[in-house]
Amino acid sequence: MVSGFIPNAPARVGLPNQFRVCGMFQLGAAGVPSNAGASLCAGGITKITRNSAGNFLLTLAQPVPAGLFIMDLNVTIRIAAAVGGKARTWQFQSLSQVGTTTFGIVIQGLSNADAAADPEDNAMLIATLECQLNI
Amino acid sequence: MGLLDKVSVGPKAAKAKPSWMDEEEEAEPAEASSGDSDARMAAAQDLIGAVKSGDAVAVDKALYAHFMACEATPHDEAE
Repeated sequence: MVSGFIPNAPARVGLPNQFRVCGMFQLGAAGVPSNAGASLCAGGITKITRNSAGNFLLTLAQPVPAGLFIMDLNVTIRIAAAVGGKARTWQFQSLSQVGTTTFGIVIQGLSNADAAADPEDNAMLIATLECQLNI
Repeated sequence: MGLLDKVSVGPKAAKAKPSWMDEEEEAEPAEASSGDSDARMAAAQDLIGAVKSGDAVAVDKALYAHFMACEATPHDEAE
């Protein structure tokens, strides 16, 4: 497991009507179902938890301020190492708003929990969110 | 129209330029190509490194670069 991450700065609103935040989640090694649930980078996205295979809950530090809209929500999975002959099979499935500060993200096909070596073993899931005034 | 109608994994509006970026160094999104995924992975790695470093400016830059790389990458749309 990667260590040494320090929290990202809180959601910065230094730019008028706009901010960008990120959070990161370290996927487990082969045969490890999930890490303890805390994201490694806590900032505007304070927490990313994995409820079950491919089911992530993303928590913002605070609700999106009134008047701002979420313009971009990107999820990138950065693999730790290539696994010979194995293709990446995961696929973004759905996104839903669970509460004022929580979003559910379902990604199909993440199989790091099985015993076999997969490309997603030890991968880092990175979520980035951008909000700005809708003009 | 609810909040989630505004959520996607792709661009919905022109990006506002970060304060640290002047006219001369305005980033241009990568052209759509087979290299886009590599660019996105590189941007993701840069972001991880920036967060590790604790450098707030570096994090801002890496965040912006990641958004731009994601913009140029084919992706699934949220329903």
